[in-house]
Amino acid sequence: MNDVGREAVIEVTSLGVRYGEAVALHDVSLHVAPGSVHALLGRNGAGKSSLVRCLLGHRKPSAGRIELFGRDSWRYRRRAMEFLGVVPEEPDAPPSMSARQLGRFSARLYPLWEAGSYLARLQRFEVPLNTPFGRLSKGEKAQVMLSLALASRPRLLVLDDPTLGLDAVARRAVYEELVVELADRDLTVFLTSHDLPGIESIATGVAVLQAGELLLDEPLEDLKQRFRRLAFGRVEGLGDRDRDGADLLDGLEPLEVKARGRGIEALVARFDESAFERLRSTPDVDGLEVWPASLEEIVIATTEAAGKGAR
Amino acid sequence: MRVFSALVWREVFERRLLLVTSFFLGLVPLIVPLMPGHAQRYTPEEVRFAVAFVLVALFGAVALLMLGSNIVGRDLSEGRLGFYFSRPVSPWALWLSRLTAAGLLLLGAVFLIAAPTAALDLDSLGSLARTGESSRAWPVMGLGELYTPGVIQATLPHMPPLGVRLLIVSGLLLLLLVIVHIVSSIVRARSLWLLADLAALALIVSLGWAARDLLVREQALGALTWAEWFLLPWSLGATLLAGGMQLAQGRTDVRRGHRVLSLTLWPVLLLAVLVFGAYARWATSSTIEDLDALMHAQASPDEAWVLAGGTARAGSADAFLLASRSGTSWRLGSLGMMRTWSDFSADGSTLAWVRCETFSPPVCEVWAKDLRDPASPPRATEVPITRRSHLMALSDDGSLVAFAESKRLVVYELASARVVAAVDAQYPEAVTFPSPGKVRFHENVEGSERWSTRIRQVDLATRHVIDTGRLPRGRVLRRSPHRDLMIFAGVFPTSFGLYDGETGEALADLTVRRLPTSARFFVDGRSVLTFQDAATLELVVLSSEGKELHRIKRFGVPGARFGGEMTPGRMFVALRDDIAKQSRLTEQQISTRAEHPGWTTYVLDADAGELRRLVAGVVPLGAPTRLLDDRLFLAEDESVIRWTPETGEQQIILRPGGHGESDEPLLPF
Repeated sequence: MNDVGREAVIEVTSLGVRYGEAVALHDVSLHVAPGSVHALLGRNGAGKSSLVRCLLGHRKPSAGRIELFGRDSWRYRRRAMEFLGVVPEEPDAPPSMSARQLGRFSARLYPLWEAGSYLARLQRFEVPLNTPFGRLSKGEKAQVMLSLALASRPRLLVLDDPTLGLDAVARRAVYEELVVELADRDLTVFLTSHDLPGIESIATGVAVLQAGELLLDEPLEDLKQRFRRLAFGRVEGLGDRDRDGADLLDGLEPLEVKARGRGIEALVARFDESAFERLRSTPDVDGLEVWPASLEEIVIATTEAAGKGAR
Repeated sequence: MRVFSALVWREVFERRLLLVTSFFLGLVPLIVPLMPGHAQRYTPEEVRFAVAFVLVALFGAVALLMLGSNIVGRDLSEGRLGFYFSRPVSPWALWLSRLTAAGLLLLGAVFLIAAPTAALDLDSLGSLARTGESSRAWPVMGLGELYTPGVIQATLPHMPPLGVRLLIVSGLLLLLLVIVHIVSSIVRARSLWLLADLAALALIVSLGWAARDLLVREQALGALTWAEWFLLPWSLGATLLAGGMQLAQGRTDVRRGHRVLSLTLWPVLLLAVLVFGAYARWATSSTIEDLDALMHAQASPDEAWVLAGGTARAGSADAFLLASRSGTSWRLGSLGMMRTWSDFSADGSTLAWVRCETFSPPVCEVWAKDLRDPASPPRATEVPITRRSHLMALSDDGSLVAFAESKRLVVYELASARVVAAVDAQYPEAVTFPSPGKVRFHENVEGSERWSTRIRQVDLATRHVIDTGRLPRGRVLRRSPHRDLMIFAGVFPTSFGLYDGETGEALADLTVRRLPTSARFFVDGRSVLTFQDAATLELVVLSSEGKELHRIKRFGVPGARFGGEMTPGRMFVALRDDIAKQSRLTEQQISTRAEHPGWTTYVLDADAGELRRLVAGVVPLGAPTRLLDDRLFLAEDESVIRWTPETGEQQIILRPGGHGESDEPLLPF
């Protein structure tokens, strides 16, 4: 599952974060390989932002550790930030500075600052260069933050829900820019998002958090292989199976089964060909169809199943 | 440095409106004098400077609070500090750059307000630059002076040069900025750690105050100055460290930052006050062996005791009581306080002195030491006294003490503080205990034509007050050891003569061309007057009836100091006659040393009317007036010695500063 064979850009080991008595993260371990686009998903309050804050060295973990490029992210934060671009959930640039001033300021912080590409990107986004950051629209702010993050020639891009609150056009602009950057350079991306359809096309790995615990952490390709949606009809009068057909799905680890008359629809978490063939050859199964589950379906089913399990 | 300067510039640019506002405020003092209504009472310059000062003070205070509370506090609480922590910026660079920017903005704002006013008076600015003093350039220094009362002026013996003052002012402004930041961080965190902060603050303030109180009570003001010089930079360092640690370890976590700040600040400050406390205890535990330089020495009438004062631990001017025979000593407190008033009783049984706190409100106490019981420690009596009290007198047996205030005279029993007598009197002066159970004083009264002086005496048994005589307005130059005679100089009408101490009757007219510099009585009633000009000393010996017996003139002698009588009619007198040695003294030595090289002790023979040279380099100590057998002297190396001129025997009683022992006897008489 994890790409442990390559040196990790991000290595999270048994991470724990507490806010007083409240547990935000518990025993979370993650591995992000170079060149990957790793999406950290989960519902609100799942612990995504806490993990990002620890990752960026903004907050000291209560337990465990996070390494960036092989070094402790808390202790070596300043050094790590030379190779990191960050787009926060809430654009936090000084409100009085214009995009142009932010560029000049950043140029003195980063040794590899690309002033030309920064301005060109902003012009592509059609962001006004001389308007104070505080007066820009939400989409423009996100675009400035993304431009700032990319102009430092980062090796790792951390995006904390960068499209939150953006309209469809702005969201698309952000993703298109990301795709271009991913194609052009050896960039690793770690992002959190609620925009599951949006990131499905670019993510290579997915981790899902639920109530501070890691539910899964796998390459998206593997997930797509594993999680399938099935639909079939049942032949009446044959055998005395369960009405919802769950017994037919033994071995496929069904997360969600819906019976509509004689038709059954299911999302399975452990799809494999032999089990599928067994199901297909079952006498009372008729018209069996299978197709990949979307990332959204996978995340929703996984988190709901974990929720039921916890209850 | 590149990152640091970028951060400083960014902050200054962010708050540039403050400087713009200051610039326009700086024009206000130039406009105000043009408005009607000032011309009659104040000059335009006065109005300009007053307005500039008020603006500097008020706007400076507002800017200080605003900048201090927003160094990082606002960004931290509003979650905007993540921008910097998501960049290759170290927390220390962030903290120090923001602090630097706040300091620059504050100083810049003050400068911009004061500069136009100051620029109109370039002479004053030039004077400020050259000498550090300028009456009109004070708006430039206004803010610093306003926020540093008692630090520069109260703790420094001399006003330091301009550069040092600016450094002190800058340091204090920086400290105030950081304190405002710390307070705002604590308030913004809104956590229960606030209670721990308050408890730590209370502990530190109370410990610090106790140490400060100890130094003030013991009058170790030199040590207090040193302590302030230690505590101010330490506090600045502690607050800077705490602010930096808040960011370095707390980063964007407001509450963790608050905890780190508290856990850094309070232990460092606690350590400082503990060091301060230990230092205060050490500084107030000087022993006479710590005396580095002798500045004051006074012997009891029987010479069993020496009151010695000088610089001791931590440069404090301390006073000690030394038993001259056993060498046992007690620290009495500050030498400064001993100079307020101290006296041995004539019978040698008691030493009494006043000690006052020099800080307002002044609190004074009368202390006493029973010299008959050397093991007993000095004790504070209950005798109430204020700074208004003056002209204290101790009875011959040491049981009573009299204090004169502006409109009354009060006599207390020293042991119990019981009021023995209280007499209404206008401006009482010259208080003495002429005989047991009697107090005599002079009262200046306004008569029908001009002021005159009544000699009044209180019977302490009956508390009756009687007028025993009257004197013209003037002053007593010297009273005889038995207080029955006095040499008095009258002003209205102009007179100078020998007077009866009780009745004020003029016994002899000593009319001379000029008043004497000093006068001394021999025990038998004869007296000697000194007339001094730049380098000539004239000694005139008078009989007890005021008749001139002898006149001795010495050239090249700029000073004389009398001692007691070696034998009846033979009085020790030290003359400053070694000009060569005196000329080698620096101003500093002259101002800090009670005695100077260049003295030679003589004996003045009243019978023969001649001065006989005894020894160079020693002077009589303390010059007690009521004894014959005066044998304590002060040597050039500041040692107090007991010297018998007849045999040349000497015994070192006190040797300040660990001067080398000398076995060589002083020259015998």
